[in-house]
Amino acid sequence: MLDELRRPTARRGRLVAITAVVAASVAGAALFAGLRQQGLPAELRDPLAARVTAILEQSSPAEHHEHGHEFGEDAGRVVCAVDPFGIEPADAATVAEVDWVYARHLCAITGAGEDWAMSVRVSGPLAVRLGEHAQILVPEPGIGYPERVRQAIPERYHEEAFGAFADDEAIDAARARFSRAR
Amino acid sequence: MKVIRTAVLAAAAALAMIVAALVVPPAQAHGVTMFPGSRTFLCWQDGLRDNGQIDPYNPACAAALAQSGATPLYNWFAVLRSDGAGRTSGFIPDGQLCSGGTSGPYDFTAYNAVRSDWPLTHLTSGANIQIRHSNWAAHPGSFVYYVTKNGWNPNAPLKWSDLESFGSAANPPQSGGVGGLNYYYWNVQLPSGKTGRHMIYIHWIRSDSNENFYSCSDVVFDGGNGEVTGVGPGGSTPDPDPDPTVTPTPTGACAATFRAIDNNWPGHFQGEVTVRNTGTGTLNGWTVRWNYTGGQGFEGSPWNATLTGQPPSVAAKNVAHNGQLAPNASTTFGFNATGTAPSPVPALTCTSP
Repeated sequence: MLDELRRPTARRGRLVAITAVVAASVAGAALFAGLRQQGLPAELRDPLAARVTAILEQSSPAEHHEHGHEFGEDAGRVVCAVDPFGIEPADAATVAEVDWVYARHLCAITGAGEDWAMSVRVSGPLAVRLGEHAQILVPEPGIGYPERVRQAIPERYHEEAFGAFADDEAIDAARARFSRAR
Repeated sequence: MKVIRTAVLAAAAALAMIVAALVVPPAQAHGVTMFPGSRTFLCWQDGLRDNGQIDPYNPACAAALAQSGATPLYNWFAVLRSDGAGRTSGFIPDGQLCSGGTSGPYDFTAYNAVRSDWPLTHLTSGANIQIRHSNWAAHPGSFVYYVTKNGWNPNAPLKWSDLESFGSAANPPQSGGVGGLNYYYWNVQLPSGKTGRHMIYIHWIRSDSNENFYSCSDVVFDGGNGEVTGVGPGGSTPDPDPDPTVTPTPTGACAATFRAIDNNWPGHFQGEVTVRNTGTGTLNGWTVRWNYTGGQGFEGSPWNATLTGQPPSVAAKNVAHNGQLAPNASTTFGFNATGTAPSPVPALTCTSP
């Protein structure tokens, strides 16, 4: 099943999976075209980062069934650093009002050595729809990647989407969890 | 705004998709050539920072990352086709040899780009070297190795007809356990009669499955000893033209200074040594010596110098093009080092030749 999911038909056409809601969000974002987010306030950014991190890390891979024994019992745990840079609606004042979070992420996997940097396997911007049924959109890597990022992230955040982490705090915290987890 | 129509992902499917994006099953992540370094391996080395982000110094690597995102490069060892089955021409399209086509688990298409500024390994035609190929996961099989033919045009996409095999290695030994920077290794004699830019291409054909791996390594046959240029901060291409005349001169005196540079590379630093002719005659050859006391070593070979003494008692000698120095002239060689930059810097001695 996982193989099928890793090769959805959308991948052949080099498209990123976007829901109709995202399309509507982007259209709504046009109203806020003039609004440039300089960075989320900490009271939004920190809990949103925690929520997205939990969503990403809970997807611990069980598909190491083929070679999991080579990497040890604790191998294959995912540890992520998340750096949110945007939200939808743009003027949400509390976490409860936030529908979508846009964030940079960087995830490492335990088991293949001790070095954090060498264990990172993915990074980049993503979009997460919060709520009971979380939706995660990761622009597919490969040729055409920048366009897929621009399709998944509202235009007002496009510059941020391609940027590096605002600071290393989230990475340092993930690194500490990684050391404990391996 | 164009609306892209796709299926709405339910929560479970979304989580599975993020898992798929996050994790390459180890069965599909086995290895590319580490020496001479493949494009993906050297670009990963070039850009990987201590905090785990990839920020390339090399412009070709930066362009590939900008086009593809960082995720393929974090999986530098996964240039593969699960349906490879030993096939070459007609299966991997010309122009896509470095990426293994376009149907692998990661899209390495950007690493097929025809550019002259990819990281480069400097070799000597006819010399014996030890090839190293990552054993990220280990499997029985053979490594078929190729070099581009003489007359190859490096400014055009790489074709199968550009390559000629100069051997294969079946089930070579491994330097250590899987999942890290260990490797399969075997000795080869590089083809003779090669000069200038070439490509070394290695095709790993598993004997227990159809899965194959593909590595493009940009090399130049310029009398080098494995130096890698175009990686890390300050990576530069040395002048490959050897000095054509050597005038006999009295032995001169020289002085050398050592500079350690923090290159934001985990567990490494970059070293730079400047050699100056402090005598009144032309210097013909120089050797710089120092001792490491902190267990430092070399990551690859130096550029613009040849090691004639290994750590801890390092001796570095000039190469063909920079041994001759006029009075007061200086030259610089550099290297990537493992370990912590020594502080204070070690005392250097410089002698000629």
